[in-house]
Amino acid sequence: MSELPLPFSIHSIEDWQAQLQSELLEKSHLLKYVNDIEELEFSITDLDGPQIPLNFNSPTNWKNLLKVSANEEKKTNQLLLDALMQGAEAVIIEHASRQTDWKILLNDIQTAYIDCMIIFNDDDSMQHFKNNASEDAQKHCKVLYQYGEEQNYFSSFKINQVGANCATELGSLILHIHRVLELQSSSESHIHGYTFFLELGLGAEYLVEIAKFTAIRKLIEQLSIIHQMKIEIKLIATTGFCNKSLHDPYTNLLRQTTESMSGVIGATDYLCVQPYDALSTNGTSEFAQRMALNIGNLLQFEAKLDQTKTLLFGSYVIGKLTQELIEKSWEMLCDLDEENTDSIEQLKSRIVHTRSIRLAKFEDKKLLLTGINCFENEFEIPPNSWGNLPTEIGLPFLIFEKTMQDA
Amino acid sequence: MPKLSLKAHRNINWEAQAVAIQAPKYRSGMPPYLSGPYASMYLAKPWTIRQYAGFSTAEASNAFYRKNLAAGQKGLSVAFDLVKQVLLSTLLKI
Repeated sequence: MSELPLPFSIHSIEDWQAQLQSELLEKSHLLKYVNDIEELEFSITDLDGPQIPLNFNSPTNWKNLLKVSANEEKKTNQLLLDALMQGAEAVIIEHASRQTDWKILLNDIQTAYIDCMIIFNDDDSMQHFKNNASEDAQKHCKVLYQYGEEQNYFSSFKINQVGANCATELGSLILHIHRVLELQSSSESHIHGYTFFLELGLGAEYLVEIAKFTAIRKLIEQLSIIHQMKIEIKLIATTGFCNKSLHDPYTNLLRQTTESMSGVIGATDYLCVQPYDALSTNGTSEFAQRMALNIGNLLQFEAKLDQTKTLLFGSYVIGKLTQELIEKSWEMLCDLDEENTDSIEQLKSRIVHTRSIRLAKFEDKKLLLTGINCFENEFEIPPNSWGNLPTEIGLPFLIFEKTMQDA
Repeated sequence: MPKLSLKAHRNINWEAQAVAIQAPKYRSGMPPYLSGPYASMYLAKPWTIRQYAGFSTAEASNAFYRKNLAAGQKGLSVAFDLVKQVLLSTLLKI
């Protein structure tokens, strides 16, 4: 648009800033982006400043991913078959163990034609897979190690779900990767060619979440320079539960769509939309499962976001947020690496801090969630309630609606 | 296990890796207003969310407005005689 030969003089940035000040008067504090949960603050009008380039020239070509547990093989197999018929292009199987019946679990799953990933947490379960899975499954499934020096799968999803801010989530993720890279550099075998699968949680703050995905690529690039290793990363964006409502289920569809868009625009490789009621006492419903998959389908086939290019080109705020997140998470990495103290405890204290700010904002209604603490849906009877929540580093997942349910 | 200290890498000059982005030539609130008629646009005052209403009786329309305002609607678009406007009056012989 700026290339149009229009007969108008170009105004200086100072003129524009003065115009903004005169329009906003006593509200001129709005010209500063302030986010106390993320601990970020910068001017939104300093457009001429240097920025991290956001040069994603390739289309945002992601795969819709379904995450399942290896428990209850027959049920999971049916779930996988249904999902693959309904548009899922990739699956990730977690909780693999020595008891997993791989023949039942992967029955009729054409692993040669889909992206099938299996997460292993120990040698025994890995060995069990090698001994019991079909030849085809062994040949085509991607093996993700979440342990040891061969680790190639890292997840900060749970850290995200207990209330960490983006910088802490990124910091903890790169600290973990840095430590594994130290181990791998001392090892003689280089088995995985350093393709790392990184799972990040998708939060509600649209712009910050996009920046989180752009920041992680730059951070890994820096780690690969330091460790002198070529690292390729595959990002997995997973929606969470913090802001979801069982009382007003339709609002979740809107939330999951905007959250998914932030992952897609941040150029994730896999998008995993989890059914919003997965942690409820009754378990997930068919409605929630279908909607979860259809969000990804809709963004691909109807919105055609998978065919768009350079979505972030020229975005000042995303560039600035990316830069701030990179700096903060790198500083955290260096602090935790240098201090030789218990990094888990340090991490926990950071998360407890942001978690308490989130809770206070929610209680004071400075954080408004439609259908939960404002504009409640009085016409629906809650069909379900939140069940026992998973924990991470001693903290349960933070779900605002559950905090109201428990109060 | 050899430890690779990050001490030497603490002060990475991220700014040096950044590039100057060319800001748009034409800005909001400035002619030719390609980025919007006001410099501040939605910064201080977001758009209002409305539903056009007035199809029914005064009582029913009033109830509709109240319900929508309670559900977060920020403005009212009141049409007093929508029944006539959409020609329902002819069909219903009102």
